[in-house]
Amino acid sequence: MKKRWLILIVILVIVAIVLAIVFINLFRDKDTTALAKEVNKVTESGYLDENNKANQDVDKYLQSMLKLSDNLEADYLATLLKTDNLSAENEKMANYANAYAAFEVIGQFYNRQIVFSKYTKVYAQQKKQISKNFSKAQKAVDALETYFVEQNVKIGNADEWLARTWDDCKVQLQQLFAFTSSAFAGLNEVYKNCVPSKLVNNAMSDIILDEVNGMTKNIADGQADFGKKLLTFANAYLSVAGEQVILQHSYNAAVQAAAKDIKEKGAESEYYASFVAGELAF
Amino acid sequence: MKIKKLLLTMALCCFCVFSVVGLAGCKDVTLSLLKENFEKLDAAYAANSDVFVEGEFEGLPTKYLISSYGTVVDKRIENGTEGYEELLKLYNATLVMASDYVDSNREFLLALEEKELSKQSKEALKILNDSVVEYTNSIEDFIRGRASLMDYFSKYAEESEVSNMKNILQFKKIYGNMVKKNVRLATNSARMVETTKIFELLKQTHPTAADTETVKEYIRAKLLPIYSEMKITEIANNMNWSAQKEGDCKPQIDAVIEKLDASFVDFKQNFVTKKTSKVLTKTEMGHLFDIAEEFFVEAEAYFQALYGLSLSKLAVSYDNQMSKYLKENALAEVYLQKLEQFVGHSLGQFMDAVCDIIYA
Repeated sequence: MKKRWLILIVILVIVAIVLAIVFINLFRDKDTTALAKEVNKVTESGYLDENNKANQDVDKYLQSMLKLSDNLEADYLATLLKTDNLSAENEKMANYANAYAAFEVIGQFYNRQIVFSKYTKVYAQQKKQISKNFSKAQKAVDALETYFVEQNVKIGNADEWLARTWDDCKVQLQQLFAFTSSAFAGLNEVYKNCVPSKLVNNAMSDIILDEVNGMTKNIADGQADFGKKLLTFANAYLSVAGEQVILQHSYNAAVQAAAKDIKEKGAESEYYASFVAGELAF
Repeated sequence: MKIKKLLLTMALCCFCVFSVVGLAGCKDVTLSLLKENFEKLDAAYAANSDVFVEGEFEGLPTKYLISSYGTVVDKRIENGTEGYEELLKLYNATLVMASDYVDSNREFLLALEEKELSKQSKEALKILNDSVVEYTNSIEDFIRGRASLMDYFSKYAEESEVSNMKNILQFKKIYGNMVKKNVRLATNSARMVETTKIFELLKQTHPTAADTETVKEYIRAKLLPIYSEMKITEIANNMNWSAQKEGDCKPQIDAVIEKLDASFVDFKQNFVTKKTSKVLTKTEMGHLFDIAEEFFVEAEAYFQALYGLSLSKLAVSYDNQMSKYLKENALAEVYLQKLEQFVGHSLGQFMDAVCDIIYA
């Protein structure tokens, strides 16, 4: 008899605790500021902040690398850079410099909007992965900074010595772009599925962010001209001035028509060329 | 034995708590209760019929003009004196527009069939009823505050402008609290209408001129808190903005406030003064609802940004220094950017689009 009472009490207590946990989880506000704060940290004080020291050092490094062709004989420079295609290697450097600037603009765009997302399954699924990717990209930038300090890189001087650093730095730069691109791809999913406002999340923002997704994937391997194209594109549609084209979508039939046409026909659309060139105007 | 009794008591207490919490949410509010509370509101107005008077506000006939704030203050309002003229042009204007909407919806809502109310309508009804009660209660505070203000200015107006402004600011807090509750009442009235099938009917049948007016008034009521929440609730209720320090972000915020003020003038012009809206086609009515729905979702982001930024904390505790405030509120700049985007672009674009549809 005594044992039965004890068992009953224990069961009641367990059920009460379970109910309490269920109720708390049901009514707790699902907070989306956590991801917003991560993005904010990366773009306002981390490696995507143009005022961040590491950011500026990487930019200085790339600008200095681009000047090497003026100062060193081509064949010799190619040997130092460990490449058999100097022209392609120079393009890669230019791509990286432009892409980094473009990534700042893209990061700022997400920084402005992600805090206004709603908590959904997509948010929950993507948050951790986005965080991890930004963290890995930050580590790549930190590794570059450490390398610069260890190697005591004299930006603008000692051309030969500078050229010899390229093979090591390239690896970190590729990581930086690859992981940041992956983070942006995750943010694109969150944006599309979790930002409820059609004024900022609509058919025009869809095609813009999808195009950014496609372009950023090409940066890590440094294909021709992608950095410059990405920078022009990002400034045209994702900067504070540029995002007007997204905000116009709800009220401008021409914007709606262009977005629809590009979505349906892709490169075959009459608008595609000017869209990709950052020249869509209404 | 004692331990057993203790455990059993704890377990039973948990169940009692859950039962009470669960049952507490079940109390239904009826339309008759809402009617009773509206009648109490009418009684509050009637008891103060020397304060809330009939008249016209920028072309809108109203029963909610505040008759007077005393001779001295009335004169300063008439002269457009900064710090005083808002009592009419912002506070009373908002009160008039919100109250007008509440009145125009009231008969429709009270005529609904209790049995046909959906779950959403019942929830909206409870919220609406609570806001009627809250607003009614705030009227007495306003009446007392107004009496104090009139008493002060009748005796001490000539003594000190600093003291005059202090009294005006104290009165604005009370007035602002009443207006906030009034706007909330109007917004909740609009939400209750949204839960009925009336808007679906408007989209499906051939609209009339009266239907355009109904939708125009609905949009007007939904737009009101965009102005009142920043200008009154966030700013005027908490501080004298013009006396705040010139920190690194004050020019940015000044620009937002200036744009909002200009937009409020357009808002009154387009939604109060202008009369001849046209008869819409079904397509136009559908399009109007679509853009309104999209815009008011974005407005939620605006409110999130407004409350997230906490202008009073930024101004009073951090002297408008964003660089320092960011250490406490990392997203403050993001919120400010949203306010800039919404007030600078989205609000004007929406109003232009609505006017293009509803006016010939």
